[in-house]
Amino acid sequence: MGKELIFKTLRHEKTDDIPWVPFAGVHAGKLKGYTAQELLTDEDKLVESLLEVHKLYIPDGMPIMFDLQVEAEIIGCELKWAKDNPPSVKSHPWEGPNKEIPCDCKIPTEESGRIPMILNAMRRVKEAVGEDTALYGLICGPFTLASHLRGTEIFMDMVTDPEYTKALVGYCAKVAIEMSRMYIDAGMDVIAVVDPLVSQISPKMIKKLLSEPFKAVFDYIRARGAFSSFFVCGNATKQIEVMCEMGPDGVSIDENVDMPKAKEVTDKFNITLGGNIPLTTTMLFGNQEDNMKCVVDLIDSVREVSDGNFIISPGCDMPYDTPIENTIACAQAVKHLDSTRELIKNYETVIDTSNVEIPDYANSDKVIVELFLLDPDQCAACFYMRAAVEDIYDEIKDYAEYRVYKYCVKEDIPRYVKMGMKNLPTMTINGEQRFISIIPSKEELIAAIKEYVK
Amino acid sequence: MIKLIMLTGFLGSGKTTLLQKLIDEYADHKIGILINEFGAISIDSEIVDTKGVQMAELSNGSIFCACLKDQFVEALVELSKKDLEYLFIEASGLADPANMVDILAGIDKHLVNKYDYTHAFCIVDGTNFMDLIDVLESLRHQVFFSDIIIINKTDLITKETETDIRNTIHEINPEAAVISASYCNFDLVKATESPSGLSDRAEETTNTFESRPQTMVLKEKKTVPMEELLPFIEDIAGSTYRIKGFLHTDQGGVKLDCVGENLSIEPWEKEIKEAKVVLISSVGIRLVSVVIASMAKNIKGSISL
Repeated sequence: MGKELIFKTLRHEKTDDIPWVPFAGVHAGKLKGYTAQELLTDEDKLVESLLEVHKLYIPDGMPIMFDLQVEAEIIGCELKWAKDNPPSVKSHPWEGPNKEIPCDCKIPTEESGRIPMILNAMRRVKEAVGEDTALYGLICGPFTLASHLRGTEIFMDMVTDPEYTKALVGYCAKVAIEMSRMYIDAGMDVIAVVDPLVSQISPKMIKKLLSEPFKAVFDYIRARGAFSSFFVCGNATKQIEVMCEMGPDGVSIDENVDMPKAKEVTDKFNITLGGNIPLTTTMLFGNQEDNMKCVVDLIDSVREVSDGNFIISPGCDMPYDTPIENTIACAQAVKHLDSTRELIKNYETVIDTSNVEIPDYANSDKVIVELFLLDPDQCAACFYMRAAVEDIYDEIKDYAEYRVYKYCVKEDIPRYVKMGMKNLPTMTINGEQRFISIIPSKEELIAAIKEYVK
Repeated sequence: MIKLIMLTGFLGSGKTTLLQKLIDEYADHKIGILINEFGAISIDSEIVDTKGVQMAELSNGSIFCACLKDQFVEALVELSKKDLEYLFIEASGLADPANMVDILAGIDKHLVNKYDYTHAFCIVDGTNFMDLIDVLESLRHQVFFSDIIIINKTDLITKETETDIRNTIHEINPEAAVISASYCNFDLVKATESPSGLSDRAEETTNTFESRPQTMVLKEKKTVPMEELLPFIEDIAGSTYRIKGFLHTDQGGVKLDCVGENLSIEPWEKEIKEAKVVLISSVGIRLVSVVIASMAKNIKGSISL
């Protein structure tokens, strides 16, 4: 039974099979012809779509809703809705010079915002498929929530006012604990603490400012008898160790991290690793063979390090338009590993880069800042990296310009290959990779750009 | 005019005891009570005998912090419609009453019966005042914005400590009357005879993010064995300012009250409506991890998060 397979894996016991958890967030809506907004606001449509995910993708575990903005919306952020993406945060009510902490009265309850709808959907899906499928309740991690509330200033606060940062992240951890409580009460087996931005912070700073509040959340989830998983996006290679030290049952990473290397780290802590089928190149734009090959290669590479303690899943929330057949191909590969390996043994994936034109940096009048992002409407780190440049644009526009590329745009992908992008998001200045998976503060960024002014 | 008497004092200093005394003393008058608790669930309202008294309760924050100020103002306006002679306000232990005068001035035109801000009592705990006064700005403000300061628990401290406390109080607020007491025993009538001059004092409250502590509530699942409870409380006390609540134990109902490391467990004969314990953290969100680790070690299913 799929659920037991997930439980055993998260208890770090030996299993014969590898569990499969497709993160069909907004993509679930596509299966039934609903927009992301319809899916994330309408209980019946959400439940109907999730049951379709269950039917088509035969998951061992599945999330109910992948939307990191639920909490921020309740506390006071305005959201911008999209048809094919989760909403993004439009306003940061706690930005500005008045450093304050939101009122405890704003901490979500069973009656706030979209929570009643989510809890009902959780109970209904639990009733329908919860017997054999592990259900994941996803909550926004305390640091990403803090950045939703405070905006990009949070990165400077960490340096200039650690006490305030601690207090704000502490508040967000209280929110995370309340969310966990409600989701566990509604029948969730696993609470995924999704904090994409943790990959943008140095391990030293994480230890200083984030470890305690995160540990409190994981301790709470365990004390309530549920499992916890720590989801991160971006190049979290250096952060995985401190993430493990916070004590989750599992860690889940995206394609920016080398899976076998990550497995070596999580094995040291006896923590389950999850990931990391590439969302765009493989799931969205690849074909069925690409997806099968990816799953087989991934499983084989991880098994070379060790057996067990591994969940295969997409790197993060699947793109809305992921072809259904590609996800089915992944499911088939996981469930029928040996025959799939045989099927694709001579298959090669090729990306044609011959049409990519690289700017003439040496002869350009202005400094060229280029942002190589995933989907900035979906990836919080990408959103904040773009915001970092947009926020200073008025100050630099006389001597610099910027360009944004998105990995979710098929035509942009060859450029990433030609430019040798290994990790996303990355910011280049005149073609040099200056900020890899790190969001610079305003002062730092302006200084870096000025180095290239002729 | 409704005579308004404010009670402030750090957690565990004896505010509830004083409130009970005031209620007894003014039993022949029409009185109203407004209680402000820091935890999400109120404990003090269970302790105060409220027969025939108009009572309002505001939990989960300080009434002077922006987060509860609206409700505080509404409660003051509501209570002004009642036929009252006295209104006693027991502020939370971490309340900073600096802006009380401004609040009253701000709502003046909405009041049916006006308030006469007669007295502000500040009760200081003799056993910890000297340790806390340099740490907590709200405590300093409580002393400064009061006209009657009770040094409580003098039976537990030396004369020298008492003198130090008096001197410190005098430095902060030379005009206040300072009274020594144990169990809040002092001559209430005499203390309240003199005029206060409170209306001259107004300042920005310090109840901002830095002074807002983390609270946690533990619920009773079944009868709590005392042999589990005691090591648990001892274990976590160092990470709290205050632990307070009611539980059914294998030795009967108890009222639990722990200030810092000083634990008091008293038998509680009356009915316990909600068996639970409120914790006020001195270590921020880390208290969650401390409590969970200690529960795993000491408590076998009788208390839950």
